[in-house]
Amino acid sequence: MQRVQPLILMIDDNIADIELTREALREVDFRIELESVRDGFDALAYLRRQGHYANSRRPNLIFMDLNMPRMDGRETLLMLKAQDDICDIPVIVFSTSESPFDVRESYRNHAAAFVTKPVTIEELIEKLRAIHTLWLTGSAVQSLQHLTGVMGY
Amino acid sequence: MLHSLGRGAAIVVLYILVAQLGLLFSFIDGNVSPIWLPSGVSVLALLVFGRRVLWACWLANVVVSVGGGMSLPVALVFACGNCVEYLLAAFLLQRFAPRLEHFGSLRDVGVLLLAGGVAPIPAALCATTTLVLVNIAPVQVSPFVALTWWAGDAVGILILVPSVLVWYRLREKRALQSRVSVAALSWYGGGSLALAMLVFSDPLSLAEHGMVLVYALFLLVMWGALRLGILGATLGVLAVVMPAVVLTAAGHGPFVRHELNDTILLLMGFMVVSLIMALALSAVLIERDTAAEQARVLSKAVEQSASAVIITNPAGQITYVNPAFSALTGYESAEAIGQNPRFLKSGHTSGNEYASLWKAIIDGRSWRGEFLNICKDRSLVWEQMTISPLRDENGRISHFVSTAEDITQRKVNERHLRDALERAERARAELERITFAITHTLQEPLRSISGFAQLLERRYTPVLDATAQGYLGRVVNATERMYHLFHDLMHYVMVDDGSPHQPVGLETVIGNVCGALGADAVSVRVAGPLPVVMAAERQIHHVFEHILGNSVKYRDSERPLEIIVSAWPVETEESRIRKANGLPASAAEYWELSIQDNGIGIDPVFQPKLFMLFSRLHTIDDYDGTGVGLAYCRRVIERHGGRVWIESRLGVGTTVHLTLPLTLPAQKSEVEER
Repeated sequence: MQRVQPLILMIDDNIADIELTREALREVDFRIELESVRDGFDALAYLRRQGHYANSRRPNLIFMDLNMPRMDGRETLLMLKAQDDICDIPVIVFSTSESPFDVRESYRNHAAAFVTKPVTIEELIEKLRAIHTLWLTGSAVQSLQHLTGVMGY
Repeated sequence: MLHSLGRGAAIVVLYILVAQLGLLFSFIDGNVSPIWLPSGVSVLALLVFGRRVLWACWLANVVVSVGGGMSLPVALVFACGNCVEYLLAAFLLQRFAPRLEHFGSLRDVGVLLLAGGVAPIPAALCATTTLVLVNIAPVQVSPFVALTWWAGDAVGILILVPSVLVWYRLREKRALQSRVSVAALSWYGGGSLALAMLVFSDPLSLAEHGMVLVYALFLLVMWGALRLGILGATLGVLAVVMPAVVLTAAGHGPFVRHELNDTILLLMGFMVVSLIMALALSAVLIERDTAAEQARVLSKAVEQSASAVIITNPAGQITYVNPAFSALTGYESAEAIGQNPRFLKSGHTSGNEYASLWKAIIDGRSWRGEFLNICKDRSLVWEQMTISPLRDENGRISHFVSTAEDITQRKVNERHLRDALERAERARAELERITFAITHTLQEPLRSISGFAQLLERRYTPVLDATAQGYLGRVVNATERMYHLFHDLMHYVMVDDGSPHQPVGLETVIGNVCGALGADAVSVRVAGPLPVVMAAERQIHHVFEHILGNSVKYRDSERPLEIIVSAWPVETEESRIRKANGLPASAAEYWELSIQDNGIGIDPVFQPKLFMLFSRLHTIDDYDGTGVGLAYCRRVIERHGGRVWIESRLGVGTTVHLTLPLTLPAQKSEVEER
């Protein structure tokens, strides 16, 4: 079995946040790749390999902001979960919001986790490390494969 | 005691005097008197002074009987029988005609006749039996003796009691009938007396034919009752009865017959008829006057009412409008009467509303509502109207009455108020939206600044010199502080996020907050049980976090921190009034809480600024903080329908007080529903 580097798709319109996340991820595991799109619209194109995303790779995990232009996170989440070949990719909502309403709504629509964007870089690294352990380490992926019998990762 | 003795003695003397007078009227040997006024004196004594003067009546009876030649045992028996009579009469009058002295109703006159007629029966029977037993009166005349005894006492009560009561009452209320002058009464009394004496002294020796003149005396009594009221009635009766008795007893006048029985019967009839006529006539007059007076006051009340009143017949035609109606609408009563009130209609009220109005009033219920009506000068006026059906004695609707208030100004005020509220609400919502948006939008670049500054610090510290590191540290600190500001501001703005209110146990909340603050830092004592309130749990949690956090933050380093939390139900205005009126207490609607610490305290100068957003009393270097905490607390507590305030003394400590309702305040205002 050919192990490829894990890939995260980050859907966020804030370049600085993407950059920061990328930098923080490097401290967690330098092998993780991070691709980014600026909103839900582009995210769907990316996942469906449309337009200039024709050669895109299927991500292992999706980070998604809630407030974005064109198609916001709430809408995007519904679209992702409605599409058969995408709905099994875990989506982690990564937002500034702390509103209980947003949290409930995200989980109701099958988000894998709701993470509030941390204030300090240390915290960010901590959270990314936890996410990495839960969803991206070899053992986590293997466990998932055993459980589901899916060999797609 | 002496007082009541004197009173008793007076009664005895009066009784004996009146008895001597009575004997003047007596027939045969001074034994049988057709009018025995002393019985009236005794009943009056009981009515005026109560039963405790009964002994005086009894003693007077004994004295008079013995003085009249009776043996002591017989006198004692007479006295006892008569006392039963007085008690019975007084009881009947007090029980069934307590307002007798007003002679305001025919019923009272009826009770008087009943008391006068029934009470002497036992006394008459007892006396007759005694007389027969001791052989003073032969058996065959005993019915006559009994009848005369009964009649004498009855007339004595009937003549004396009403007359004296009416005149006695004048003592208290001078204006019994101010319309009646003393002169008129004197002329009438004197004239009646003279005429009666003329009729009964019979100077022309008409004898039985003089009966015709007796009818003239009836007319006289009637006139007195009609024109001079109850005073004239009693005066007239006395004026014609006294000469009749005295002169008939002396053997003059139209009542003198061959048979003594006939004479006495005629005399009795004359007295009783004139008495009943006089009393009944004046009672009816007073009844009518009272009713008329009431009707007059009622009609004045409607006439002078500040509310516009319309009365219509069942067909809806106006039969009456009051001056307030004319003032309100500009239509004079002549213009309105005969019309249907719909001539005021502006067309603003819907047909449905009219239908519900008619249904309500035809069903016999009142209807309340608002109408926009057109006045004569074509101006519009808002009226708050109540329409009620009036029923006649058969229960049929005879009229409709509508009362209306002009609420045009109130309507205008209401609209202004509503507009102002709407504007304020819009402005508030807009402001919150903007604040929210700004807070969110500004956080994005802030996170970039802070993130990259931290990244810089993390990755490039070895390369930077000390000065650069210091600068970088300041950037990082500033961004962190800004984060906290944003965070707190968000909380402040988000108080209205519609979090559901649920029962929140304050004991639990305070326990949780203390746990979070660290048990070693805080020594919190909860005095007494804390209530469960209806609240948004997270917000209440934050409030106590701020308050207890402040106590910890502004503690006095000289002494160990102590915090005392206590709570008690607040007496509301309503519960105070309930207590004052002895009504059962309702459950406390408010709780007051106090959180008292022994920290550094707050200078009174600064206390007014405590609850203002972003106001801080200390520099960042002394105590960190954003200046949002207490403002947030106040906002949360006020949104819950409570109040928060602070008492503090520099160097002694600070007490935060807050009130929380047990139930929710009315949530949405009417304005929002419209």
